[in-house]
Amino acid sequence: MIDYGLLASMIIAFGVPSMLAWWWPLDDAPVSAPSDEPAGFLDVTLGPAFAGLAVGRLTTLALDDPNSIGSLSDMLIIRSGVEFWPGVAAAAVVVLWAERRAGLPHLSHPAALVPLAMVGYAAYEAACIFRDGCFGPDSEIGLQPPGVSSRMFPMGWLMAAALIVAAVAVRALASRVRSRSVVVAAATFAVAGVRAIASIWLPHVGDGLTRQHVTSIVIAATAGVVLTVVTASAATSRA
Amino acid sequence: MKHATPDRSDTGSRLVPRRLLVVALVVALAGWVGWTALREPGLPDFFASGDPIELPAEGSFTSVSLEEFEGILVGQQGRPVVVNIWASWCAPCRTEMPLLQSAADTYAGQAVILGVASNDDPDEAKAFLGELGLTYPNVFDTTGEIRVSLGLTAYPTTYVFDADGTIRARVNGGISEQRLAGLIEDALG
Repeated sequence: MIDYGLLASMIIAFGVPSMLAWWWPLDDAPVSAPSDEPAGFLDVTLGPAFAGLAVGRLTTLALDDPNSIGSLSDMLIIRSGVEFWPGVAAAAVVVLWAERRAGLPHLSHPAALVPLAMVGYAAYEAACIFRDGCFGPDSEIGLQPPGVSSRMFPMGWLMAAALIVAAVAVRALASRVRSRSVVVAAATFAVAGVRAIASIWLPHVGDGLTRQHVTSIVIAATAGVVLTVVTASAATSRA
Repeated sequence: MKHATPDRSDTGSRLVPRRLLVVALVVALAGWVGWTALREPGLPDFFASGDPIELPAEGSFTSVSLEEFEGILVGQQGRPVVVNIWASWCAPCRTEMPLLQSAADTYAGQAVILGVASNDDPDEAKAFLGELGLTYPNVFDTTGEIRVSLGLTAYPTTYVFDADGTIRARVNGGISEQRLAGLIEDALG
């Protein structure tokens, strides 16, 4: 069965930043394009995205269904769950590896790529309407997910709006600060913060925090500490 | 011989129609796939009837006919029932079962989670349940009539029945935690 909702979400998640890259070009792309045109978003993100999906899916299987590891057909059903942060980490490793291979300065490519990646993730969240429906707290203003009698405030859309604002801010930061570590840490902090805050209002089974919520809090806290340290370090080296 | 190099304005004017075409293609593709995703078939015309039958015991796995299945649903009227149709050969079924177990534990007494194995070998289905250590009740669709009467088109499929026994939602394919919790909470009112 083709999951059209997921397919539509992926087209939107890659299509929107690919088009935005015409105005936010990736000047430090670590690929040799055959034409004079600079490498596009898809050129540099498809490899990392596949690596991220594979690692994210394997992590989900290792946590929820270890017996399926080794069965290719089971592993390929990504709708059954992909852990977000292990996937992001794997994609980042591939981006860093490509950057090193191309002999580019450390973190120059991730720093250029993160605003577009954030917009791509925002587009994915905004496309919630094509997947499960956009859930959130009950609200007068909102959407009615299929099978639900009340309206809910679409958290996916609010997340998308917050992520787009954060992406614009991170891009502005990238043009102002020299430290690429600051840019990458700020982007990670913003995404983890948005996910952690949104998880408060997303429906979940049971009273405890979901795995998505816990991991996002941990990543936001870690990125916050890293951001503080690298910002202080950058300020010291400027002085 | 030197080739004339096109100036930037030429390149820019060539790029605009190409980019517009790409935008149109992406919008058309996403629109078509998204529309297909949203075009859900209507809910099946199914309403359980007959004499009420007690819910199978926790951890049990009994073979039932369509009439017996309907009896179980009738017996549960007064609280929402989540019916999950699965098979041991279906990977997404396996992945979502711990979530259903968690829902069964969380909403114990308020809502019922009932698994229905269908189009499967009963021994393999039973072994599969043992492997996962599930405790919520499961039954085996002996004749295949349950899946036919519920208009099943995909594995897994999850149906949410209202407290009055009407189907309120159907989720084809794996169900997310957000959606499962949202549907149960809404059905509970």
